[in-house]
Amino acid sequence: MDEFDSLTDGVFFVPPSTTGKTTGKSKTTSGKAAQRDHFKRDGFQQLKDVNEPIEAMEIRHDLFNREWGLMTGRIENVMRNMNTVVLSAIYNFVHNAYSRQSSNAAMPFLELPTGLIFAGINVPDHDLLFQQIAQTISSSTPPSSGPLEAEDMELDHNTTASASSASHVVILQSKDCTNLKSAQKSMIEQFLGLGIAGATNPLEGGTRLQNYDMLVLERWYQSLCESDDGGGEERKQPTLVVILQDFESFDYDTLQDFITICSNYQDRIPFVLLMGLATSIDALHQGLPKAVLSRLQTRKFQMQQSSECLTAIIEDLFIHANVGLMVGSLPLKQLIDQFIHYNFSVGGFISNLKYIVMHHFYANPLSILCDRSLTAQSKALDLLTSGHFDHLRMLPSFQQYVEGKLEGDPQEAEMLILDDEFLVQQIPDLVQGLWEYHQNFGMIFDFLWFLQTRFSISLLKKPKRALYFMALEGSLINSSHIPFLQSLVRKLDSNNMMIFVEDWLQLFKESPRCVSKESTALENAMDRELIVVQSIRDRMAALLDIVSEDSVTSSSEVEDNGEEAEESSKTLSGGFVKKRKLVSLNVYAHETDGRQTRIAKKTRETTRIPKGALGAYTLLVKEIDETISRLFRTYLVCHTSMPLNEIYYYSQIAIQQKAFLPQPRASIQTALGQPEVYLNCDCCRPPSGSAGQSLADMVLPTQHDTCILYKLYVECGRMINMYDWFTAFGMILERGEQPAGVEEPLAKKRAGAKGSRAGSKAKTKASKLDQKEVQARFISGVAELQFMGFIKSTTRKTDHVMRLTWGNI
Amino acid sequence: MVTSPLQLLHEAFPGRAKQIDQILGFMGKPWAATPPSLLINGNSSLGKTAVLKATLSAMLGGGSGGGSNSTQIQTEQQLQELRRRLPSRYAFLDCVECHTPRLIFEHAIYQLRNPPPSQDKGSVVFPSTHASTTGMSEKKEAATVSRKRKRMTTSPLDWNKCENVNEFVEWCRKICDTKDELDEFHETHGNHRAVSGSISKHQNETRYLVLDRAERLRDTAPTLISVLMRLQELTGRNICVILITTIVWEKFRSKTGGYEPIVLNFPQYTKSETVAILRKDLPAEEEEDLDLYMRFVDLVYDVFQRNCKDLNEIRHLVALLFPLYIKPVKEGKIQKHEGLKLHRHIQAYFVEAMDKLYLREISSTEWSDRTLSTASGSMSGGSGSTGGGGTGGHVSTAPGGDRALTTALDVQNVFDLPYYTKFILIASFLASYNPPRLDMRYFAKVSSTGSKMTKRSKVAAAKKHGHDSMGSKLRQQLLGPKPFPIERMLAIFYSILDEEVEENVNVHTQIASLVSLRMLQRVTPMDKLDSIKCKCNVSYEMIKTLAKSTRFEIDKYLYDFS
Ligand SMILES: Nc1ncnc2c1ncn2[C@@H]1O[C@H](COP(=O)(O)OP(=O)(O)OP(=O)(O)O)[C@@H](O)[C@H]1O
Ligand SMILES: [Mg+2]
Repeated sequence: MDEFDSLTDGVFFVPPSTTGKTTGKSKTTSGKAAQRDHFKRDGFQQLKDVNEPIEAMEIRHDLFNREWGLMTGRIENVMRNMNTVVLSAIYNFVHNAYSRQSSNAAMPFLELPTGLIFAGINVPDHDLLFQQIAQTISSSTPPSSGPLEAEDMELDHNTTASASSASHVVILQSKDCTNLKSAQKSMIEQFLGLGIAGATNPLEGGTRLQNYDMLVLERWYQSLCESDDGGGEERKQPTLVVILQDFESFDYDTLQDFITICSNYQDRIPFVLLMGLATSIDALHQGLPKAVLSRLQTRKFQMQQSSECLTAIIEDLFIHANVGLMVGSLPLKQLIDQFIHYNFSVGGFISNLKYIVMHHFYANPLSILCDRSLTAQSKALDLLTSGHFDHLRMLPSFQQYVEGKLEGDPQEAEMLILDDEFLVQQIPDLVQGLWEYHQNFGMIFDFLWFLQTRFSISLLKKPKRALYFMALEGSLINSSHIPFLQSLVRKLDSNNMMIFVEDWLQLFKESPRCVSKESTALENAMDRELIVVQSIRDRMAALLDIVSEDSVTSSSEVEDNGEEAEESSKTLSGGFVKKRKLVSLNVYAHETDGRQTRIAKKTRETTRIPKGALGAYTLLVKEIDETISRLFRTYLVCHTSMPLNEIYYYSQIAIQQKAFLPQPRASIQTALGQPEVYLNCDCCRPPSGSAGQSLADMVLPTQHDTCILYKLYVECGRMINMYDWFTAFGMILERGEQPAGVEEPLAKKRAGAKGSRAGSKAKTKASKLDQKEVQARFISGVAELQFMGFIKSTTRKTDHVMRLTWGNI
Repeated sequence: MVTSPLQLLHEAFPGRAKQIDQILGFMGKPWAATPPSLLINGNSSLGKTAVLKATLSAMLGGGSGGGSNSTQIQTEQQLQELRRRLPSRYAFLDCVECHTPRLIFEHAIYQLRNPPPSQDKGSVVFPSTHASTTGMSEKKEAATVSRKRKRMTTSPLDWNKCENVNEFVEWCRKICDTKDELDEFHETHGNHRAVSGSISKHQNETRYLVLDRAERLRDTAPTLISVLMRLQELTGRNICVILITTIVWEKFRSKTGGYEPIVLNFPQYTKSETVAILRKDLPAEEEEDLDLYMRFVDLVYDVFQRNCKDLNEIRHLVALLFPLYIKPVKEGKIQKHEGLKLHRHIQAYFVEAMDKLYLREISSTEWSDRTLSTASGSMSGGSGSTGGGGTGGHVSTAPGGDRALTTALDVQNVFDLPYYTKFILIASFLASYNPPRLDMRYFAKVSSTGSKMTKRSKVAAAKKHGHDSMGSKLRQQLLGPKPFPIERMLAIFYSILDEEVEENVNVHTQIASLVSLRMLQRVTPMDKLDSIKCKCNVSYEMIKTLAKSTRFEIDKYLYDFS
């Protein structure tokens, strides 16, 4: 207990002891050793309820590391990809900052090139982002370009990378820049690479230049230019980039001077500023006076919104099932809610996710099976104990599965339940099935998304996250959204239908599921679907080709088409008719977008279908409709219908809520009002006579002093008379002194909580309660309550304190 | 053609001839004793810094050569050479940069003990010889040139520590006493013997200590001002202090009194002076458009001078607008002499410049990018660029033409907040602008007691204000936000939320982050943890948009607000 007696530490870390409560003193040495092991495996323990062998625990631990490594890697990747365009724009901005000025509009005076980086309101997340920016800038090549490398970035691209020497970057944070001196100092130290404050400047030797003197920087810069002067005159001089990470938190006066100084030195040192703005440009205009603003030549960069990042992460990790452990609907909802409601923090989301992954592998014995590459040879299968099998058989999805088997193959069902060996054999197949399901799901989900983006009716558009969430919940395939989309497809006229089918085929062909495989053995469901779509397209093309050959447009056909349109619009509720125009408009926009497929070109010329082909066409449309419908129904089914999905889907939320939505007030109130919840002690039993009363309403002398005081406090009014409070407290304590039986545990507990009082307690054992002691305990309890903010001293009434909380909890 | 430095100076700074002469008169011959101090004041960007720097460097920094007759030319050149090589006679300090006395001292000593910053021809501060016409492009080059030149002249840094006034005075004496070749030069040429006579026999050249933006001294080193005023007396040497400031001397005066400097005021430029200065900004390559340019400058001056007296701002505007002005001429759409047409053409840009450019809502590069792309867009019909799709839509640098940029601009003026954070902000706004006594009326969830309260509080409100709320002087809207205790705000927050939210730690972190984003302003000092009070620092417009996005009817809850 001694180690928790520190006066200065507020928090103690108590690792779970590996030796159970029941083990005696004899085992302490082995316990110590076990504790050391404990940290080697990040706290993973053997799970007792399944009698897990140690290897199984190791597997879980390895799986956790692998899984989390995979996730972080992917997340980082997503984040980088999200911002490549902006990053490369920033890169170009910085590197052209001093070559641009001569080419672009000539200004009568030098302006300080300043990039304004709008990075979203979650400031804690920015650390990573700005480090990334700094890294990007200081590297000598522009960031590897994403899909759209800033096409023709600037008009003045002429003097880029060829002669660029790397820029030097520093990041200033408001916490280092409380005044001008420290801001300059921090900047200079970082530029010069002086890690520790107080180190002398290597350039100046013994001279006593102050470390916030700009001259230091100027000197350093000159020596920098001299040292890499070899490149000749053409060689561009390195620019010095100063990143002001959290603009809003800076002291504006300091910033103002700082910028003025930088701009004064601009003729000697080519500075570029980058300011991170969390809010809007108004912050800049509010923070800096006109005189300073007019020295800046700003350019704005909008980083990717964090909610888009979140969507991208969810898509990459879960929708496309690139990781092993998935998140079920409830926890995902909580993750997203927390993000949207409270902080927009991708960092928060990631740590939350980590917690989930940790918990899954830490506590779920079946998580040893949570492995994509599980095969019949896997070691994990050999390690399964009967406990594991019990767990497996208790899974709802497994029971469902067995029930499903019952009709078709009752024998197998029986084997699944009774025969462990058989079950083991089945597991890899089931896992494989789940994996297949994920992949198909991802692809068809993409198709759904493709459908939705095609008909951009903003009103009815659902964000990706929402769609996925619906799918997790299982409500997607029965929602009205899909029939609605289908109806839009049906309404397409023949040209657009052709284009649509063409695009659809393209989408399927390009999806990673359908890339051509070496052997037919690897063929999967999606390949079959691809063939279906292909055949539809071929027939459609053939049909329209015939049409195009005898492209005659008679008035009757126009009517015909009109009829068709009418028909289809009837099927829709009235409200959509108006939007129809919009839809087709939009589709035309797609069309003119420059897609140059042969068919598309042709269909643009031939617009009408002759009567003869109409029947075939209608049939084809019907088939398309059915195919779409079938695709969704088969592949977007809810994961809960898949056997063993519980192993892959984390679905708890309680523990996560406790960790990430802490409620300090509620916990304090519970601790004070119902201490037994936390203490788990035996002494605080309600007296035998009062069975009806709940424990929370009673004041027991065995409880902690502060709890007693709190319970008395709850019954008081706005002002609390100290003396009354004290007397009541004393009476309760006295009540506890009478029966000698409870004395022992009581004394022990007090000693535990307030170690120092143990001695005095023992002395007063026999005699009546010492008044002095009561008083001392009273005072310390009151002080604690005051510290926690329940009471406040007041001058309004003598001997009274003011109550600060309300409600009778 | 040989021009004297004086002439060059006059040429470089139209409208400042008188002031330059005054400064030169004040300085006298290089070795002559000067008054102890000079104060130059005048509004912003009236050329105080530029003129003084140029003058000093021309006279004392070996700025440029030239004389009226041949023998003089020789000695002059010799002198210039020496001046370039020998320790500088003046130190030019910026008080923003030198924000402690120590920095002032050390920088001054350093500059006075080292050669003056080399001023090559066409350098930043003193555009000489042909610089008058090649104005701006020259300056940019000059910046790089001077950067490069500086490198060449670096000598091992000879830095001297100087922590207090006494040491500084001592140093000044030492510096003034060092006799170098320049002083000897004067002696051998005997050109000051005649004037100064026997008294100043040992007198070396005057040293100047220039402090730009001297108004800062009042904060950073208030006691230093009076010391500087009598630096000549304290050192007993030939040293002169020049302060440059935007404020009048009266604001410097200390209670204890002290020496008064000679005050030289830089007056506002007249129109003709302004136009003459702007004339020099015309890039050399567009010299043939001089007529047009002058007409344009005239126009800009007339349009903007009421709002904007600042020379730099007008230069800024001219530089950015002129290319637009002459574009139709260059493209042959409008003839040069069709003044009215041109005028009409540029008028639209003026309006935009007025509210965007002048306020720096968009910067010069963004402006020129934008106007450039508008132009190209209008050429090509401007309809084809709807593509790009949803992938990179709001990247500000995506060259999506004029429209993309404007939308990017708009996008950045609104930003999203987490859902509950919006409500926290709305609650803070309500707490800041509503009187607390009406909280019951607005936010109490129980309606039965509410009706009773409403009447009473309404009466109370009317009584307190005395008259109808319409013309009330005490309207909080006009008084600005009032501080409120966090607890009150939280109570409002939980009451305006539709759903039940349990109090949790995230709400508090959001409050903290709002404070750090300056949307809430904490009025209790940081070290006080009890009963924190804040103010809402957000405009009504912003709250309105926030409320709209959350479908919260803010107007229902605001008292006496419009
Ligand atoms: N008469 C003039 N002729 C030519 N250029 C001028 C003239 N007056 C001012 N300028 C130019 O205007 C710009 C601003 O001048 P300067 O910085 O010297 O103003 P200032 O009075 O020091 O302003 P502040 O009080 O803000 O420091 C400089 O680039 C300077 O060259
Ligand atoms: Mg100035």
